[in-house]
Amino acid sequence: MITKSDPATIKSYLEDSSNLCGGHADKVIIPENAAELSSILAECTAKKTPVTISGGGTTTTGSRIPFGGIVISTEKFNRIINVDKRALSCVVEAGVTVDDLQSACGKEGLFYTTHPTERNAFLGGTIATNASGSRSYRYGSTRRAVKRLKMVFATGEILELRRGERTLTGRELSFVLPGGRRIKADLPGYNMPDVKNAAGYFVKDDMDLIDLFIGQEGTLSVITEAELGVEPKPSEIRSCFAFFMDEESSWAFAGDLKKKKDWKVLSVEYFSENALRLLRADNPNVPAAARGAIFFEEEGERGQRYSAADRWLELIETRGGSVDDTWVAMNEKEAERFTSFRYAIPEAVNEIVKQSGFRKFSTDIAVPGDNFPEMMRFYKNTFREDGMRNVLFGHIGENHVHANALPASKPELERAESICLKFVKKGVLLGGTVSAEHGIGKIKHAYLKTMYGDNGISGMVRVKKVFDPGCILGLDNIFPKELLH
Amino acid sequence: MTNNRRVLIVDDEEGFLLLIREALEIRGFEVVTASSAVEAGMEMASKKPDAILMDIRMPGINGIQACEAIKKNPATKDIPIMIVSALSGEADIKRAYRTGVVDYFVKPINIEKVVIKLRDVLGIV
Repeated sequence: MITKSDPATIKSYLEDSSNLCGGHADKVIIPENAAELSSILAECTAKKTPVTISGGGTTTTGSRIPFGGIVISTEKFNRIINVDKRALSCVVEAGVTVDDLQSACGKEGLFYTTHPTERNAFLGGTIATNASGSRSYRYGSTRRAVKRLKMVFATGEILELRRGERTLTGRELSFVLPGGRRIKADLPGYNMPDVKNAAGYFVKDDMDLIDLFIGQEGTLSVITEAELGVEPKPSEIRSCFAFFMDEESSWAFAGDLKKKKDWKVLSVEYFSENALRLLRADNPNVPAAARGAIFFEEEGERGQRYSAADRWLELIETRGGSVDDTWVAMNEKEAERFTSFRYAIPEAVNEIVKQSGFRKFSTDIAVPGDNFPEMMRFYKNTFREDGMRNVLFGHIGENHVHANALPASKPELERAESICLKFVKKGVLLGGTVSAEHGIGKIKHAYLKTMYGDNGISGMVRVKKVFDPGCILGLDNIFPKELLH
Repeated sequence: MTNNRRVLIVDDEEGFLLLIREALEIRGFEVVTASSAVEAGMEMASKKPDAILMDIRMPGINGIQACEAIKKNPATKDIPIMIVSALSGEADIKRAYRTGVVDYFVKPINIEKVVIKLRDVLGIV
């Protein structure tokens, strides 16, 4: 076990990819195994010392930023224990990065399907937030890959839980932990929206118990090890950037793609007019007249490349796109230039934020497919009426587009906050979620309340108190810590 | 395309009124809004709504009292009322149903569920 307390040494543990400031902790403890972690947590519960779990620090919601107490880092849980080609599964510790797992799988001709933008994320963190990414369009979020979890509770108990092993009756949580402690509680009564969702605890009638711990944002337990499903590596992934002369045509094209059930589409991503304008600065070959673009990836067999391109172009032309304004990559190597092009958007947005000196406000809302065009028009009209600088881009395949408000003055900063709250309320009204992939963390409590109301939040608090009776774990993640008293 | 049905929404939260107004208008309803029970009474007399969505917690006369008044008035007693409220206690829900409301939606609401019920009570195919 390593302990660090020098302020300069622990500084990097007090921040993440959110803009949340003011993180502080007495020390950082780095355990090397579950037994060490168990005794640290038991002691913290006895002394009521708050504990914040630190993964790779890639979250955008402040969930790993501590405000008092200690930090426990999972960085020494960094072993890939096993990659089993026959069982299509792997066993990893929580501190392994997505990139490392992907490389290990690649050597075996396998492929880990969860594809978050941030490749340095720790797998433990991706499970704790039910992370997803562009390819969750085809493969689902992290939840779908999780077959087994090993975790440590705040009281020190260690539990291994395999999918299918414990199923709830209705919403009644009732089981005995290995140490003999009985866990008994009713899960919250809310109904989760039927969309990609990472907001609050996963609860459903007759659910598998393992699902409660996926997306709990470090508030119920510390995940130390997981068995994850993997897939045979596709022989080829091809990709395409299709540009359109108006934004609604690009939305319609995304809808057309989603109807092509016999195409093995992995991801469908959207770039608004403003996003393209940002990209044009460094990429003059972005068609000058383009007002919207769709990027998509398709899995395919070798030898079918040209027929695939023909299929794509035919569909693109039905929505007014043209061969001249379409970029095609027929293998992963060619697609690398697309990758840097796609990632240039968040970088450009961050640059604007840096220059303006004001933070950005970004939504993570997904709504049911039928209501998606209404949500998109609401984004566009609200921004147009206000006149605020904005950028829309993201996972249109899952009706999940990030709306970024980029204030350039103090009054705009205040308006940006209320604009985002307006978006959240609209998304909830349309049957959607306030967070499809980032989670709630410390910065979206009000959004979650809009979605599940006071009753839903108090139901989550009830569940947390059962697993973490001393209320020490992940304080202020998902809901305000004041509700625990 | 409009369905020629007019819905009165009574709620003191301006943001909610704006959102639900737009969402219902997109779905073909004509919408009238009021931010208090008193204002709702005036709108009812002049606009004659086909259905009402009513909040409970409002300053002055609350939604339950407003529902009782509407149901007592022969001119308005047949207008279907649905409650849309953050109150989710069993007592609140029972109290609302005793006034004769046709449904009770706890906020946050899903507009599709409200629209299905509205179409149902108004006989819109």
